[in-house]
Amino acid sequence: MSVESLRTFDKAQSLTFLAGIPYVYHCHHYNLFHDQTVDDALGDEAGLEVRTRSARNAFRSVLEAASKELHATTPVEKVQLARELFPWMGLGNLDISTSAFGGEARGATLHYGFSWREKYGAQVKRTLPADAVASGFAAAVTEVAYGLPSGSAWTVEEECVAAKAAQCRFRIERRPLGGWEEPLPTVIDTAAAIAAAGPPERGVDEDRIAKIGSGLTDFMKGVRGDERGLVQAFSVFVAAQLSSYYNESIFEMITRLEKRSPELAPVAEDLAREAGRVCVFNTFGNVLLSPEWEALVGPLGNDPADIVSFCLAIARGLGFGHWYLHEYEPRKRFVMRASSSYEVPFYVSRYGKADRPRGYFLGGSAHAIAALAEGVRWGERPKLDGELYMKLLGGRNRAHVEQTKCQMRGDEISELVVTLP
Amino acid sequence: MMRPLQRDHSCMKHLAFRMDLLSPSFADVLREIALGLGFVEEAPIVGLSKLVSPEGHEILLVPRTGRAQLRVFYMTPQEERRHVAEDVYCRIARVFVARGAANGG
Amino acid sequence: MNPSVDEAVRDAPQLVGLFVATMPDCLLYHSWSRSATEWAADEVAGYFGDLIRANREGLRALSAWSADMQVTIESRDALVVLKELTPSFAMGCVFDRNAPLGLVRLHMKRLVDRVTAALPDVAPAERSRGEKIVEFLERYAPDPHAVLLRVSLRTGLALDRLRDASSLSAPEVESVERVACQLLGLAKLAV
Repeated sequence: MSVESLRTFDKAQSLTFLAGIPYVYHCHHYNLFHDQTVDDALGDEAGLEVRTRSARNAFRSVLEAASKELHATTPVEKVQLARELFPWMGLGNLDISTSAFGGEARGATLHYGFSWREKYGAQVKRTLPADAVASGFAAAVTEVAYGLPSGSAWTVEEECVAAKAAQCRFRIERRPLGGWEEPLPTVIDTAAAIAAAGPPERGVDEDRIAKIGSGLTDFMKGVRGDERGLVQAFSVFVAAQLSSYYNESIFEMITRLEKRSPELAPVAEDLAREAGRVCVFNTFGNVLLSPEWEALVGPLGNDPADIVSFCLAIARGLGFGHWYLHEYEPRKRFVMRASSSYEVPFYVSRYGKADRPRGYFLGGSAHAIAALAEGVRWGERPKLDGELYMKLLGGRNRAHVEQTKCQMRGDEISELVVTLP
Repeated sequence: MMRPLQRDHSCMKHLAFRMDLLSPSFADVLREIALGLGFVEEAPIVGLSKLVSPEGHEILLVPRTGRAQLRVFYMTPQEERRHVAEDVYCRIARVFVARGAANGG
Repeated sequence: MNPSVDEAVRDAPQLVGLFVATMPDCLLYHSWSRSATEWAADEVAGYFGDLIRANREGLRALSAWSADMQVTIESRDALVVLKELTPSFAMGCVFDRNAPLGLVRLHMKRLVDRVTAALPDVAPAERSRGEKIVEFLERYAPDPHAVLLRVSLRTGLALDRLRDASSLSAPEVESVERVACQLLGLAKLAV
């Protein structure tokens, strides 16, 4: 039995699971933007705390489930399993040495720190660490390996590659329980994720979307971290990440802001949607232009309808959920629906029914899919740069996007209507 | 046999370069040359050859279309990537040319 | 820009690219490149403008500044020459690395004369510090498409206030400046 065997897939809902815990693939553009958004809204200190805790809670659930499934019972077996799992997910090699009383961890090529330096390092100087995910993971490993209660371990990143250190260095410590203003961790498993899904209807061009999506899923089955624990596929750096990490950090951020500064919550919500746009533009765009895509599907043409279908297939291949095309009228209107989407189960389970639509990632993604289909001539090998991003998704000429149905609000499915400018 | 080296799309700066074949029929030749230069073919998916050099540089080849993408090893410093890509390209091109000459081309 | 500049460009085969930036804003006014490149012209113009400004201030500090100074940079791939054309415009020319320096100077003189003659006569508009900081952020901050949203969250200022940066109060400008330093990793902002 290996980490590989922990992976399962619900074909009908296009959801992926690791030891029964939902995960998705995201590239570093999205991951960095997501984390940045949490910090912008809450401030650097509180943002780091929320992200670290979200990672610890998410990894705790997967490590517990994986230990059980792979019969890892002793601390050393569990630490070994953790050291295998993290790089396999493409999150980097993390050398953890821990005990019931604390410990340390090191890593020179962690997904977040390494990719931050790669993307922004030449542009701006950073002093704060970038690897809250690795911090939370190290704390979770300590808790699970030594049977400690949830919330009793914490990790501080003392040096970070993003701040020009040669390697990231972490100190794992024990913390007294209590005193936290946090709800109990929300654990989403396969059953909860499937229960939150609606009927996986067939949309327009369903056969083609399903076929390509299935091909991508098969391809992703072979994807795992290299000797540095990183994954480069389809011209993008991707990592398998637990959905609960994204969900807890983003929804905690927004709900806290709604209480503290309600006037700023819409700005934070827009940034959360922007993360979806950043994801689709960078990840989906680069996937479409990659040789892997050309081999799997063929060279790109300029038909917007093709791009819409391709993007929906990519979303399914990355485990985002069963996204399907309800209606598409070129240059006018694009209606996307989802019977499952990775944001939904967590929100419903943690906060109950929403009073209004809250599919942030889904909404930003729908907007960007329409923009990529309508505004880019893919057959002419476009350059996916900041200029194109601004042209397609910047302030001017923005499409109008409305979430008309939301599973978090109790609707059977989610629906996004994009009216093109 | 190969088009001039050009920057290609990549999620990271200066990491990917296009070195497309003039005709898909040269795909086998490129594959042989790369293997002769020490590249190793790794877990290719259907319709795609992935050739990895000892230094970690990759050539992704789509034999059906003649698309060839050179991905410089990602640990290569950004400012050196283009030079590294040119070096790999030239090593391959030299063998291509020598073969062409030997075949009377 | 105009036929006379086109002619000077044509006659300098070692010239790879040319950028004209407005000063002191360092915004791209005009760019030209011999073949398709991966350059982001607005970024290049911004950095070239900053280099010229830093050079001018450095030389002033040494009491060695003169209006006709130009900056020459020899990198592995290119030879870059930067020149302040008027108080409102600066030009950067990128030459092939193998171009002889004497010839480059000759081409530069010709290009400077012709580009200067083609420039409009403008005076830089006086802008508030708030506007300058916001413009600076939009040019240099990571993810410029999201920078106003980010500043809004970090300062607590509404987006509409930031879009009308000229009307920001002194404490608001201070707050935006502090956040700009955070986002750019700078100790202080020189705008």
